[in-house]
Amino acid sequence: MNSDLYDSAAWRTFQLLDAEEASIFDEAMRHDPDLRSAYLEMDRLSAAIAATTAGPLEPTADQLDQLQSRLGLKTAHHSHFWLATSGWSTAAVLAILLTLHLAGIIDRMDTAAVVTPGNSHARPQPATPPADPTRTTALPSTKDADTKTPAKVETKRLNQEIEVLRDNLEKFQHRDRVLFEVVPGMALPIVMAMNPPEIALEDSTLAKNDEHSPLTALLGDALRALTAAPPETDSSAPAADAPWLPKHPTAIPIYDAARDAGTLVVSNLPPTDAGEVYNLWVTTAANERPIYVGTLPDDSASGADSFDFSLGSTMVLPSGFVLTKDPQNAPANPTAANTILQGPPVPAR
Amino acid sequence: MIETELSPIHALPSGLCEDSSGEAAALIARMAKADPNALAELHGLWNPVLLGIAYQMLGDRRQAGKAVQDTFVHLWQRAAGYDSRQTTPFVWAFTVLRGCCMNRLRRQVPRAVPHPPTPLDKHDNPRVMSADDYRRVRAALDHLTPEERSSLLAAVFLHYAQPHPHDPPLGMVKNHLRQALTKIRNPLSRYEL
Repeated sequence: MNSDLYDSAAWRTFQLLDAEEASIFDEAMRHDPDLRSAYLEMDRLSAAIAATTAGPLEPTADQLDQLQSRLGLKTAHHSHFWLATSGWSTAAVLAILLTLHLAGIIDRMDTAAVVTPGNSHARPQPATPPADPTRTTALPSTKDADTKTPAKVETKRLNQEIEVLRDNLEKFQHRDRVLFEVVPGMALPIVMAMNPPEIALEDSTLAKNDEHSPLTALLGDALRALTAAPPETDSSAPAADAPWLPKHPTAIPIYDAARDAGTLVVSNLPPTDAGEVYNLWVTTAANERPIYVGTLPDDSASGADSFDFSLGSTMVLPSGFVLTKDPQNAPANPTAANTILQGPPVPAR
Repeated sequence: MIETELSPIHALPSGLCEDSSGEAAALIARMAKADPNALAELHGLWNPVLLGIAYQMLGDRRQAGKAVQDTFVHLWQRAAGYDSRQTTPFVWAFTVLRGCCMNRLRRQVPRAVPHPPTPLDKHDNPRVMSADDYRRVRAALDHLTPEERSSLLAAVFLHYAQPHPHDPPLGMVKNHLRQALTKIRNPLSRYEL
């Protein structure tokens, strides 16, 4: 047992070895019980230090439910929540139900017209009789008054439902407008377009609720970019069957400052040369110089992909993002020379 | 005299993180028999501390929650293969969590600023580690310089797993870590002896 052994175990535990060194260590550990013992003891020490120094966090209430559902130990009850996830989905479901209901009413009215000789609006009916015998017995009587009254009632009720639906739609639209409205001092999800510096575009920061660059358009571009370039194809160039995609590199950072969680969606990013990487930077109103966010993985320069990132603090409110191409492990501050993408574009002076 | 004769490995705290009550091992044994109540109990036992550790490793609460969930899925699926002679239950869970966090770190862009300082406040949970273990580790960390301690904590929480331009050179990091591990060896060993 020597200190080299001990050091190696520590470097392996702390992930300080590169892939090849780690592989050699793991192979050696299989044959050397002392090395394995050293590694296990480092694990034990790490666990003790982590448990002592990391403050426990209060888990969310549904974490156990999610875990049990994932393991099949409990039936998932997503139906309780899915309607609440989007007002638009609620409206869509209501509209479908309403349409089906309306179709049922028309069908019933048609059937009533067939059995009512005096109804002048009777439509041609299929030769086959109704399959459901109970439905026939439920039809109104053959008298005109009895036939028209339920239809009027249904029409009135239908009109009322349409009014309610319209009100709901207006409420949802109002809610969405409020959600994307800029409120000073409030952290909002930030979505912006990043383009090459030489391409002049209108300011597309969604936080400003610009009607000419709606959120759906930006996210739509991001989704199209992701779906139009399958990984098995050469996606360094825009797909030929996707004429709506821009020819130049683009990126869309989506950042939620309230949770310090962001995703960067890139497309058409050209492959880097050997020893070069793409670095992401963030600019804020408080700092003149961009702050380094991180390096995109090596395999990022291929068509479209998305990467999660965080800024380390929920107090950072980005005013822009910059993507630079630099030598590996030597990111330089963004300049005109190394900037590949920036967003939002600097307004023309 | 005794301290100088101790080899580094033997000086490490072999008694740390022991499951003295056998509670966690019993729960894992029940999980191996597909007892869902055991999973719920173990989740209640370890989830907050694992979530805190994962947050320190990932710097993102949402990602930390997912990593902890991955960990419990792994523990559930591998409970039958758990060998208490190899490692203690909590250390096993910690190593699984570390692997889950590493997988997530490899997929995400590194964070912009270093993690918030790791608190050293007392938040002992006797069902995770004994009060004596907490005391021993704190006493050992108190022997370190601020640089050594921050290097050690950063290493434990995988901050060096992703190279960051603001990090000190790797050689300096390893020197700090080597000094830190040497220093904490003795206080922990004293308590052991």
